[in-house]
Amino acid sequence: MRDDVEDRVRAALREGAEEITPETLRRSTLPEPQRSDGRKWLVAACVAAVVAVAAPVAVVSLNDSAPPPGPSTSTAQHYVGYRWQVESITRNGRTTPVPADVEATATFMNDREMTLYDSVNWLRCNIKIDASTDVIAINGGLMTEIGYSDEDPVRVLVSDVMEALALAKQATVSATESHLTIATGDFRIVFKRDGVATTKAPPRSR
Amino acid sequence: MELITDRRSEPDVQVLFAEHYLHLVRLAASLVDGQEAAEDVVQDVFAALQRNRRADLTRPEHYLVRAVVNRSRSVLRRRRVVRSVVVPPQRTDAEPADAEIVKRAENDRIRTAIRRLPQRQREVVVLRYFEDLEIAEIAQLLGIKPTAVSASLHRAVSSLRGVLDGSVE
Repeated sequence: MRDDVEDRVRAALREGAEEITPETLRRSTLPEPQRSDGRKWLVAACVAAVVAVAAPVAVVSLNDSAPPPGPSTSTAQHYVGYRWQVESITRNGRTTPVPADVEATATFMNDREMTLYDSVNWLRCNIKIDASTDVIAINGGLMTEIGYSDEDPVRVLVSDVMEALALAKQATVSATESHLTIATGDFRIVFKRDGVATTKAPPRSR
Repeated sequence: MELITDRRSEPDVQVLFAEHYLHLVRLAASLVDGQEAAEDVVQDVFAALQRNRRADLTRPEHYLVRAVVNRSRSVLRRRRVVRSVVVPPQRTDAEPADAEIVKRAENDRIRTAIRRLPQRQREVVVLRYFEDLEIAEIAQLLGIKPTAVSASLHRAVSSLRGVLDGSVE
Protein backbone atom coordinates (compact mmCIF):
# COMPACT_ATOMS: atom_id res chain seq x y z
CA MET A 1 0.00 0.00 0.00
CA ARG A 2 2.76 2.35 0.93
CA ASP A 3 4.59 1.69 -2.30
CA ASP A 4 1.43 2.49 -4.21
CA VAL A 5 1.08 5.81 -2.41
CA GLU A 6 4.68 6.63 -3.14
CA ASP A 7 4.26 5.80 -6.80
CA ARG A 8 1.15 7.94 -7.04
CA VAL A 9 2.86 10.84 -5.30
CA ARG A 10 5.82 10.50 -7.63
CA ALA A 11 3.55 10.42 -10.67
CA ALA A 12 1.59 13.45 -9.49
CA LEU A 13 4.70 15.51 -8.90
CA ARG A 14 6.13 14.60 -12.26
CA GLU A 15 2.90 15.32 -14.08
CA GLY A 16 2.77 18.73 -12.47
CA ALA A 17 6.39 19.42 -13.31
CA GLU A 18 5.95 18.43 -16.92
CA GLU A 19 3.39 21.15 -17.35
CA ILE A 20 6.37 23.46 -17.22
CA THR A 21 8.13 23.22 -20.53
CA PRO A 22 10.77 25.29 -22.29
CA GLU A 23 7.93 26.91 -24.22
CA THR A 24 6.09 28.04 -21.10
CA LEU A 25 9.10 29.61 -19.41
CA ARG A 26 8.87 33.36 -19.11
CA ARG A 27 12.61 33.67 -18.92
CA SER A 28 15.07 31.24 -20.33
CA THR A 29 18.31 33.14 -20.16
CA LEU A 30 20.83 33.52 -17.43
CA PRO A 31 20.21 36.66 -15.39
CA GLU A 32 22.54 39.46 -16.21
CA PRO A 33 25.64 39.36 -14.02
CA GLN A 34 25.69 41.97 -11.35
CA ARG A 35 28.98 43.44 -10.42
CA SER A 36 29.66 43.51 -6.77
CA ASP A 37 32.62 44.90 -5.01
CA GLY A 38 34.10 42.21 -2.86
CA ARG A 39 34.75 44.66 -0.10
CA LYS A 40 31.11 45.35 0.20
CA TRP A 41 28.64 42.95 1.50
CA LEU A 42 25.24 43.30 2.63
CA VAL A 43 24.27 46.83 2.94
CA ALA A 44 20.86 47.71 2.55
CA ALA A 45 18.35 49.75 1.17
CA CYS A 46 14.98 50.79 1.57
CA VAL A 47 11.88 51.59 0.07
CA ALA A 48 9.36 53.31 -1.40
CA ALA A 49 6.38 54.61 -2.39
CA VAL A 50 4.15 57.11 -3.31
CA VAL A 51 1.29 59.14 -3.60
CA ALA A 52 -0.18 60.07 -6.69
CA VAL A 53 -2.49 59.58 -9.39
CA ALA A 54 -2.51 56.33 -11.12
CA ALA A 55 -1.12 58.00 -14.09
CA PRO A 56 -0.05 56.03 -17.04
CA VAL A 57 2.89 53.98 -16.10
CA ALA A 58 5.95 55.05 -17.88
CA VAL A 59 8.80 52.95 -18.88
CA VAL A 60 11.91 54.61 -17.72
CA SER A 61 14.59 56.01 -19.85
CA LEU A 62 18.02 54.52 -19.80
CA ASN A 63 19.64 57.85 -20.27
CA ASP A 64 20.63 59.66 -17.12
CA SER A 65 20.23 62.96 -18.82
CA ALA A 66 16.79 62.30 -20.11
CA PRO A 67 13.83 63.30 -18.01
CA PRO A 68 12.07 60.19 -16.84
CA PRO A 69 8.44 59.80 -17.56
CA GLY A 70 6.22 59.32 -14.57
CA PRO A 71 3.09 60.31 -12.81
CA SER A 72 2.13 63.79 -13.65
CA THR A 73 1.02 64.92 -10.26
CA SER A 74 1.77 64.91 -6.60
CA THR A 75 4.67 63.46 -4.71
CA ALA A 76 5.14 60.59 -7.06
CA GLN A 77 6.35 62.75 -9.89
CA HIS A 78 9.38 63.62 -7.80
CA TYR A 79 10.61 60.11 -7.36
CA VAL A 80 9.06 57.72 -9.83
CA GLY A 81 11.50 57.11 -12.64
CA TYR A 82 14.54 57.74 -10.49
CA ARG A 83 17.12 55.85 -8.49
CA TRP A 84 17.69 57.00 -4.93
CA GLN A 85 20.75 56.52 -2.75
CA VAL A 86 20.29 56.05 0.97
CA GLU A 87 21.63 59.07 2.79
CA SER A 88 20.60 58.38 6.35
CA ILE A 89 18.55 56.07 8.47
CA THR A 90 16.71 57.04 11.61
CA ARG A 91 15.74 54.37 14.05
CA ASN A 92 14.12 55.04 17.37
CA GLY A 93 14.95 58.71 17.07
CA ARG A 94 18.62 58.15 16.35
CA THR A 95 19.88 59.14 12.93
CA THR A 96 22.79 57.35 11.28
CA PRO A 97 24.39 58.83 8.16
CA VAL A 98 25.05 56.27 5.45
CA PRO A 99 28.30 56.86 3.55
CA ALA A 100 28.04 57.23 -0.19
CA ASP A 101 30.22 54.19 -0.75
CA VAL A 102 27.56 52.03 0.77
CA GLU A 103 25.58 51.30 -2.34
CA ALA A 104 22.07 51.19 -1.01
CA THR A 105 19.43 52.33 -3.40
CA ALA A 106 15.76 52.36 -4.13
CA THR A 107 14.71 52.48 -7.75
CA PHE A 108 11.25 53.25 -9.01
CA MET A 109 10.97 52.07 -12.53
CA ASN A 110 7.39 53.20 -12.61
CA ASP A 111 4.59 53.68 -10.14
CA ARG A 112 4.01 49.96 -9.82
CA GLU A 113 7.45 48.59 -9.16
CA MET A 114 10.18 49.32 -6.69
CA THR A 115 13.59 47.72 -6.47
CA LEU A 116 15.86 47.96 -3.48
CA TYR A 117 19.52 47.19 -3.80
CA ASP A 118 22.30 46.81 -1.28
CA SER A 119 25.21 45.99 -3.58
CA VAL A 120 24.78 42.28 -3.09
CA ASN A 121 21.16 41.57 -2.37
CA TRP A 122 18.13 43.11 -3.93
CA LEU A 123 14.44 43.18 -3.36
CA ARG A 124 11.91 43.66 -6.06
CA CYS A 125 8.31 44.26 -5.23
CA ASN A 126 5.11 45.60 -6.57
CA ILE A 127 3.76 48.77 -5.12
CA LYS A 128 0.41 50.43 -5.16
CA ILE A 129 0.16 54.10 -4.57
CA ASP A 130 -2.59 55.59 -2.52
CA ALA A 131 -2.81 59.08 -3.89
CA SER A 132 -4.77 60.35 -0.94
CA THR A 133 -2.54 59.31 1.93
CA ASP A 134 1.10 59.27 0.79
CA VAL A 135 1.11 55.59 1.63
CA ILE A 136 2.24 52.86 -0.68
CA ALA A 137 1.22 49.28 -0.31
CA ILE A 138 4.08 46.85 -0.86
CA ASN A 139 3.44 43.44 -2.22
CA GLY A 140 5.11 40.58 -3.96
CA GLY A 141 8.62 41.01 -2.70
CA LEU A 142 11.43 38.78 -3.82
CA MET A 143 14.70 39.16 -2.06
CA THR A 144 17.97 37.48 -2.82
CA GLU A 145 19.79 36.11 0.16
CA ILE A 146 23.47 36.24 -0.42
CA GLY A 147 25.33 35.78 2.78
CA TYR A 148 27.59 38.43 4.15
CA SER A 149 29.95 38.64 7.01
CA ASP A 150 30.47 42.22 7.80
CA GLU A 151 30.24 43.73 11.24
CA ASP A 152 30.13 47.30 10.06
CA PRO A 153 27.23 48.66 12.13
CA VAL A 154 26.06 50.93 9.34
CA ARG A 155 25.88 48.10 6.89
CA VAL A 156 24.12 45.95 9.42
CA LEU A 157 21.65 48.75 9.99
CA VAL A 158 21.04 49.03 6.30
CA SER A 159 20.53 45.29 6.18
CA ASP A 160 17.99 45.54 8.96
CA VAL A 161 16.16 48.19 7.03
CA MET A 162 16.11 45.99 3.98
CA GLU A 163 14.53 43.23 5.97
CA ALA A 164 12.06 45.56 7.61
CA LEU A 165 10.98 46.82 4.25
CA ALA A 166 10.75 43.34 2.88
CA LEU A 167 8.34 42.46 5.62
CA ALA A 168 6.46 45.73 5.62
CA LYS A 169 3.09 45.84 4.03
CA GLN A 170 3.14 49.55 3.56
CA ALA A 171 5.32 52.60 3.91
CA THR A 172 4.77 56.31 4.06
CA VAL A 173 6.55 58.45 1.54
CA SER A 174 7.40 62.06 1.07
CA ALA A 175 9.59 63.51 -1.64
CA THR A 176 11.07 66.59 -3.16
CA GLU A 177 13.06 66.77 -6.34
CA SER A 178 16.26 66.03 -4.48
CA HIS A 179 15.26 63.91 -1.53
CA LEU A 180 12.93 61.06 -0.74
CA THR A 181 11.89 59.91 2.71
CA ILE A 182 10.32 56.55 3.38
CA ALA A 183 9.07 55.53 6.79
CA THR A 184 7.96 52.14 7.93
CA GLY A 185 7.84 50.67 11.40
CA ASP A 186 10.66 52.07 13.50
CA PHE A 187 12.68 53.17 10.52
CA ARG A 188 12.82 56.33 8.54
CA ILE A 189 15.09 56.35 5.52
CA VAL A 190 16.20 59.45 3.71
CA PHE A 191 17.43 59.12 0.15
CA LYS A 192 19.19 61.46 -2.18
CA ARG A 193 18.39 61.40 -5.86
CA ASP A 194 21.00 59.39 -7.70
CA GLY A 195 19.98 59.49 -11.31
CA VAL A 196 17.37 58.15 -13.57
CA ALA A 197 16.10 54.62 -13.09
CA THR A 198 17.30 52.06 -15.53
CA THR A 199 15.52 49.04 -16.86
CA LYS A 200 17.91 46.76 -15.03
CA ALA A 201 17.32 48.29 -11.72
CA PRO A 202 19.54 46.63 -9.21
CA PRO A 203 23.16 47.33 -9.74
CA ARG A 204 24.68 50.67 -10.06
CA SER A 205 28.22 49.59 -10.58
CA ARG A 206 30.90 51.84 -9.41
CA MET B 1 36.08 41.33 3.29
CA GLU B 2 38.60 39.06 1.67
CA LEU B 3 37.58 36.74 -1.05
CA ILE B 4 38.08 33.15 -0.13
CA THR B 5 37.98 31.66 -3.58
CA ASP B 6 38.08 33.00 -7.05
CA ARG B 7 34.87 34.02 -8.62
CA ARG B 8 33.25 31.36 -10.71
CA SER B 9 33.88 31.91 -14.33
CA GLU B 10 30.82 32.95 -16.21
CA PRO B 11 30.91 30.07 -18.69
CA ASP B 12 30.58 27.61 -15.83
CA VAL B 13 27.43 29.29 -14.65
CA GLN B 14 26.16 29.44 -18.20
CA VAL B 15 26.62 25.72 -18.55
CA LEU B 16 24.91 25.03 -15.26
CA PHE B 17 22.05 27.27 -16.27
CA ALA B 18 21.61 25.55 -19.61
CA GLU B 19 21.73 22.13 -18.06
CA HIS B 20 19.61 22.64 -14.98
CA TYR B 21 17.33 25.63 -15.35
CA LEU B 22 14.19 23.85 -16.50
CA HIS B 23 14.52 21.08 -13.96
CA LEU B 24 15.15 23.53 -11.16
CA VAL B 25 12.09 25.56 -12.14
CA ARG B 26 10.06 22.38 -11.97
CA LEU B 27 11.52 21.60 -8.57
CA ALA B 28 10.81 25.09 -7.31
CA ALA B 29 7.28 24.94 -8.65
CA SER B 30 6.69 21.92 -6.44
CA LEU B 31 7.84 23.91 -3.45
CA VAL B 32 6.39 27.38 -3.94
CA ASP B 33 3.38 26.79 -6.19
CA GLY B 34 3.25 28.42 -9.53
CA GLN B 35 5.61 28.71 -12.40
CA GLU B 36 6.11 32.44 -12.12
CA ALA B 37 7.29 32.25 -8.54
CA ALA B 38 9.38 29.20 -9.38
CA GLU B 39 11.15 31.02 -12.17
CA ASP B 40 11.81 33.93 -9.88
CA VAL B 41 13.31 31.57 -7.35
CA VAL B 42 15.64 29.95 -9.84
CA GLN B 43 16.57 33.23 -11.48
CA ASP B 44 17.48 34.52 -8.05
CA VAL B 45 19.55 31.43 -7.38
CA PHE B 46 21.56 31.93 -10.55
CA ALA B 47 21.87 35.66 -10.01
CA ALA B 48 23.23 34.90 -6.57
CA LEU B 49 25.54 32.28 -7.94
CA GLN B 50 27.08 34.80 -10.29
CA ARG B 51 27.78 37.11 -7.40
CA ASN B 52 28.75 34.59 -4.79
CA ARG B 53 32.45 34.05 -5.06
CA ARG B 54 32.41 31.55 -2.26
CA ALA B 55 29.93 29.14 -3.72
CA ASP B 56 31.08 25.58 -3.39
CA LEU B 57 30.39 24.01 -6.73
CA THR B 58 32.23 20.79 -6.24
CA ARG B 59 28.80 19.20 -6.44
CA PRO B 60 26.87 21.71 -8.51
CA GLU B 61 23.61 19.79 -8.66
CA HIS B 62 23.62 19.47 -4.90
CA TYR B 63 24.41 23.13 -4.49
CA LEU B 64 21.66 24.21 -6.87
CA VAL B 65 18.99 21.98 -5.33
CA ARG B 66 19.89 23.21 -1.89
CA ALA B 67 19.83 26.82 -3.07
CA VAL B 68 16.42 26.34 -4.65
CA VAL B 69 15.05 24.72 -1.50
CA ASN B 70 16.45 27.48 0.67
CA ARG B 71 15.19 30.20 -1.59
CA SER B 72 11.78 28.58 -1.88
CA ARG B 73 11.62 28.34 1.88
CA SER B 74 12.37 32.00 2.14
CA VAL B 75 9.71 32.87 -0.37
CA LEU B 76 7.14 30.83 1.50
CA ARG B 77 8.18 32.35 4.78
CA ARG B 78 7.55 35.82 3.55
CA ARG B 79 4.39 34.82 1.82
CA ARG B 80 4.84 37.77 -0.41
CA VAL B 81 5.27 36.12 -3.70
CA VAL B 82 2.77 36.95 -6.32
CA ARG B 83 1.60 33.58 -7.28
CA SER B 84 0.15 32.68 -10.56
CA VAL B 85 -1.73 29.74 -11.79
CA VAL B 86 0.23 27.53 -14.05
CA VAL B 87 -1.59 27.28 -17.30
CA PRO B 88 -1.03 23.88 -18.79
CA PRO B 89 -0.03 23.90 -22.42
CA GLN B 90 -2.88 23.63 -24.82
CA ARG B 91 -3.52 20.11 -25.84
CA THR B 92 -4.25 19.47 -29.43
CA ASP B 93 -4.97 15.82 -29.17
CA ALA B 94 -8.35 14.29 -28.85
CA GLU B 95 -10.40 14.44 -25.72
CA PRO B 96 -8.78 12.32 -23.06
CA ALA B 97 -10.36 9.10 -22.08
CA ASP B 98 -12.30 8.97 -18.86
CA ALA B 99 -9.53 7.06 -17.17
CA GLU B 100 -7.10 9.82 -18.01
CA ILE B 101 -9.44 12.45 -16.63
CA VAL B 102 -9.74 10.50 -13.43
CA LYS B 103 -5.99 10.13 -13.25
CA ARG B 104 -5.40 13.84 -13.75
CA ALA B 105 -7.96 14.68 -11.10
CA GLU B 106 -6.23 12.37 -8.68
CA ASN B 107 -2.86 13.89 -9.45
CA ASP B 108 -4.30 17.35 -8.86
CA ARG B 109 -5.65 16.15 -5.55
CA ILE B 110 -2.29 14.72 -4.57
CA ARG B 111 -0.45 17.91 -5.48
CA THR B 112 -2.94 19.96 -3.52
CA ALA B 113 -2.42 17.68 -0.54
CA ILE B 114 1.33 18.05 -0.86
CA ARG B 115 0.98 21.83 -0.88
CA ARG B 116 -0.93 21.60 2.38
CA LEU B 117 1.73 19.58 4.14
CA PRO B 118 3.91 21.32 6.72
CA GLN B 119 6.89 22.89 5.05
CA ARG B 120 9.46 20.33 6.19
CA GLN B 121 7.29 17.41 5.13
CA ARG B 122 6.65 19.03 1.80
CA GLU B 123 10.34 19.54 1.17
CA VAL B 124 11.11 15.97 2.09
CA VAL B 125 8.38 14.63 -0.16
CA VAL B 126 9.51 16.70 -3.12
CA LEU B 127 13.15 15.82 -2.64
CA ARG B 128 12.36 12.14 -2.20
CA TYR B 129 9.80 11.63 -4.93
CA PHE B 130 10.63 14.34 -7.43
CA GLU B 131 14.37 14.60 -7.01
CA ASP B 132 14.68 10.89 -6.18
CA LEU B 133 17.18 11.61 -3.45
CA GLU B 134 18.05 9.08 -0.81
CA ILE B 135 17.25 9.72 2.83
CA ALA B 136 20.88 10.44 3.64
CA GLU B 137 21.15 12.91 0.77
CA ILE B 138 18.01 14.73 1.87
CA ALA B 139 19.33 14.87 5.41
CA GLN B 140 22.58 16.38 4.24
CA LEU B 141 20.83 18.84 1.99
CA LEU B 142 18.40 20.02 4.64
CA GLY B 143 20.95 19.89 7.42
CA ILE B 144 18.94 17.51 9.57
CA LYS B 145 19.36 13.96 10.77
CA PRO B 146 18.34 11.05 8.58
CA THR B 147 15.98 9.89 11.28
CA ALA B 148 14.24 13.26 11.11
CA VAL B 149 13.91 12.91 7.35
CA SER B 150 12.45 9.44 7.73
CA ALA B 151 10.02 10.63 10.36
CA SER B 152 8.88 13.56 8.23
CA LEU B 153 8.51 11.34 5.23
CA HIS B 154 6.54 8.79 7.17
CA ARG B 155 4.16 11.43 8.47
CA ALA B 156 3.80 12.98 5.04
CA VAL B 157 3.06 9.69 3.33
CA SER B 158 0.56 8.82 6.04
CA SER B 159 -1.20 12.12 5.46
CA LEU B 160 -1.21 11.64 1.73
CA ARG B 161 -2.49 8.12 2.08
CA GLY B 162 -5.36 9.47 4.10
CA VAL B 163 -6.18 11.89 1.34
CA LEU B 164 -6.01 9.21 -1.31
CA ASP B 165 -8.14 6.88 0.76
CA GLY B 166 -10.70 9.59 1.18
CA SER B 167 -10.45 9.52 4.94
CA VAL B 168 -8.89 12.99 4.97
CA GLU B 169 -9.97 15.95 2.93
